[in-house]
Order: sequence, then C-alpha cells, then structure tokens
Amino acid sequence: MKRITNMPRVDWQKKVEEIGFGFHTLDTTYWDESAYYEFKLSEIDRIEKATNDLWEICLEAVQYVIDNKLYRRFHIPEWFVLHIENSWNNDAPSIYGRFDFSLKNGIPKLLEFNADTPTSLFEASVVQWHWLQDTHPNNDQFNSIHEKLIAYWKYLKEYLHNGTLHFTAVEENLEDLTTVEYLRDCAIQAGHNTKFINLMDIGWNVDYKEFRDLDDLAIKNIFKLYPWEWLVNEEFGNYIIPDRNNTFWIEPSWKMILSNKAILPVLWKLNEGHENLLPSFTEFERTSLGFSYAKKPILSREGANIQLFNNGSLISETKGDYGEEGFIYQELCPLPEFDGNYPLIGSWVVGQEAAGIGIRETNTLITDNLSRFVPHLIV
Amino acid sequence: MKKSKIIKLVLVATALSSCNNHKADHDRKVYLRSDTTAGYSRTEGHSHFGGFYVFRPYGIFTPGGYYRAGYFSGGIHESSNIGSSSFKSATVRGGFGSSTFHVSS
Repeated sequence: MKRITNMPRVDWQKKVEEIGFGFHTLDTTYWDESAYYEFKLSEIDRIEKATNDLWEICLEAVQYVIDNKLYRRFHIPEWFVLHIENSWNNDAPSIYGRFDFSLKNGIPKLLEFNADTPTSLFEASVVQWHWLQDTHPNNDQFNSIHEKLIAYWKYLKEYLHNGTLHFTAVEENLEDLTTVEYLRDCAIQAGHNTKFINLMDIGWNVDYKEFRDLDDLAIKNIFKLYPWEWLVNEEFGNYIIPDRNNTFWIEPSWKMILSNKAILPVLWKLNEGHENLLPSFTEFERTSLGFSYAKKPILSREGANIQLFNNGSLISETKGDYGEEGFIYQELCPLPEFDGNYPLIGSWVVGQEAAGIGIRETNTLITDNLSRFVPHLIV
Repeated sequence: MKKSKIIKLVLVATALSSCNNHKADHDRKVYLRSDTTAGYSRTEGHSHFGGFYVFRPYGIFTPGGYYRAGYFSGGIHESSNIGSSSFKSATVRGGFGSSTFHVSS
C-alpha cells in the first residue's frame, strides 16, 4: 500500500457534481483526489479474503448471541428480541455492510463492522470509479459494488412482499440522502418499483395497524438509513411489532447485533487468534488486555467518544455524546501512517460477498467526521 | 478484473446533481392538519397569506345539497388536502426521526 500525491482533475468539483455528488466539500475537503492509494493485487486479495471470512464468522456470532440470549450485553430492549429473532430465523433481506480495517504489515485487522447504516457507499462505488476512468483508465480498482448491488437487489426481489420498495432517511442531510438515493437507483435498475419517503413523513394507520406513505399506501418493504437503536426508542418504534404487514425493514433488525461493538468481544471469544481480529474484551474481561488498547462505546457513530491508550498513556481521544450503554476494550492497532495521513480501509459486503473498498483518511489516529475520502487503484 | 465494467445511473445524477450540502432548517417545518379527515403532514411553511395559512373549503354538490368534505390549503402537503377518506383519518405521522439528523457511520 502506497500513498501517491496527484494533481486533481481540472474542474473536479464540476465533474463529481455532474454525477450527483453534492457533498464533496463539507466544512473542509471531503472528496480528496490530491492523492490516491496504490495497492498490489496480492494486498487486495488479502482484503477480499478477510472480508469474506469475517462475514462468515459474523453470521456465526449472531447465532451465538441469539442462542445464548446475550441481548442485555448489547443494550437491546427485551420487548424487541422477538422481532430480532424472527428476522434472523426468517432470513429477512439484507443488502450491505462495511468492515473497517487497519492494515498492519499487510494484514487487515478489523476495527469495527458498520452493519446497519454504513455510508460513503456512493463515493466508493461511483465517484472513485469515475475518477479512475478519467485518470488511470488502464488500471484496476477493487470496486464492483455497483453491479453487485444491482444483482443483489434482483436476487432479493422474490423474497420481498409484493408491492413498492420504499426508501427512507432524514432527507435534510445530503450525505444520507445520497446514499439512499443511490441504493434506490440500483434497485430501480434491478426492476423494483420504488418510492422515497422522508423518515418523518412515515405514517402509522391506527385502524389498519400498518405503516403508510404520503399517498396513504401501505409500506411493506422499506430500506431505512436510520439506526435500529434509534428507531426502536422512538414513538413509532412501538408499532414495528404490531404492524400487520410484518414489513421488511432493510437492513433487518438482526443487524442490531452486528452493528453493536459488543460483537467484537464475542467474535474474539469464538475465534481467538484469527489473523483479522484484534483481541477484544468487555469491561469485565478487560484485565486480559495489556496497557495498549482502544476504549470504544458499544453504540457510537463517526468515531465519537473513543480513547486510545499506548502503554497506559492516553495518546488520542474524541469527544461526543455516546458511552452511557458501556464500552468495549480492543487491543491497540494504530492506523498506518503516510506523511501524517492515517488511512482507514472500508471494505464493503454486498449480499454475501466482498464487493470493494473505500478509503477515508485523517490526520489523527481516530477516523472521525472530518475524514477525507481518497480514491485508490491496483497496480 | 475487480472493477465494474460500466456504471449507469438512472436516478441519482438527475435527482442530486444540483444539490449542495445544506443545513436542515427545522424552524420552517410545521405539522398542520387541514381538516378533521386528513392526517398530519409536513409543510415548508412557504404558502401562507398575510401571515396565516389559508384553508379553503372544498366539497361536492349532491341532490341533497352541498356536502363539505374538508378544507384545502396550498401550504401543506397535497396528501393532507385530498379527500375525506376513512383510511386517512387514522393515519398519524411524525413518530420517527426525533433522535438526530445525521446517521453516517
């Protein structure tokens, strides 16, 4: 893996806006093509294999959590357990997820799994692909996300309820809206009849006990870019179980287990020594860990409320509002450094297989909401 | 080869290409109810007259006289303006989305 500085394309802002990428510049640059990362094919093969292997053991870990009723450890409300178990036992449709890796001596090490509401999908799938076509058309890229999304939406068609496939997010946020509209774009190409509805506009029909869209039509299948732990704690969360249509929520509720960092100690317990896992422990087991570790809230977003300790000394931390549900402790595995830049590899699973990567880099050891998306290629 | 052969978009480019990042303007959102038959719906709050939302009666003439079905306003979503359906009477909205406005992870 190498970091190569590069002259951005002339009018790159216009080029990315033309393909629908409106949030290339936030408070600072987000899409950053002043550099790119170069991989050997052998390195990519390793990331691909790690992604497929980890997906398999993640599914085994979900079964373990369900079999052993470890929901309290995940702060999952008791009244919602049945929904989770039903979604798991009935193979409720799932479309995607993103493993975040730190590359250590060429070996991907899992930092966390964004299994419920991962973003940066459009950048990884479309924007960096166009960048490659414009700048290095003869090179390869680990990125077949787009065609895998279309193929998997096609595959899911027979498993969904008849009718429209709705998509929802909080539309005021362009990043979230872009992710959802991109997924809807792929679903349309797969032959689904789709409709977007702002999350706040979802209705609940008291008489018919079903969710409704703004045309007052029943919602029976819905992709939501909104975390399960928020959905179930909001007013309408109470209606998810009595919903007479048993609406398919995508991602399904069993992803509440995988998107929670409490899964990391479970993965380690079941697969101790796995080369792509870092030793991880609960608060009660943390004495098994040395003095160099990351302390992470079991529920948090955008790298908030993380502390990194090296030989007992705090070397980096982020602020935020998370942590009341508890923390896990993971062996420290600093991101590799390239001239003061720290890249995090986001490796996508679409359906059941590895589909490509996107790289976000920061100038600190913790990837937060100020990270930049940097394209990559294979030499 | 590990990259997609071709990428075609049918929705995103046209729907989002003119968008720039904007902050949610929550002050302008108002949940209104147009009449006793329609569900709550969101309005951007831009279609008002003299500082007030205008509601105009609508209905149908029947052999027995005029039947008023409800009130119409351009200031609220059309879904809340159409009909006096018994389905709509029982639909409530706004029960999701209170946690935050940005979910990225």
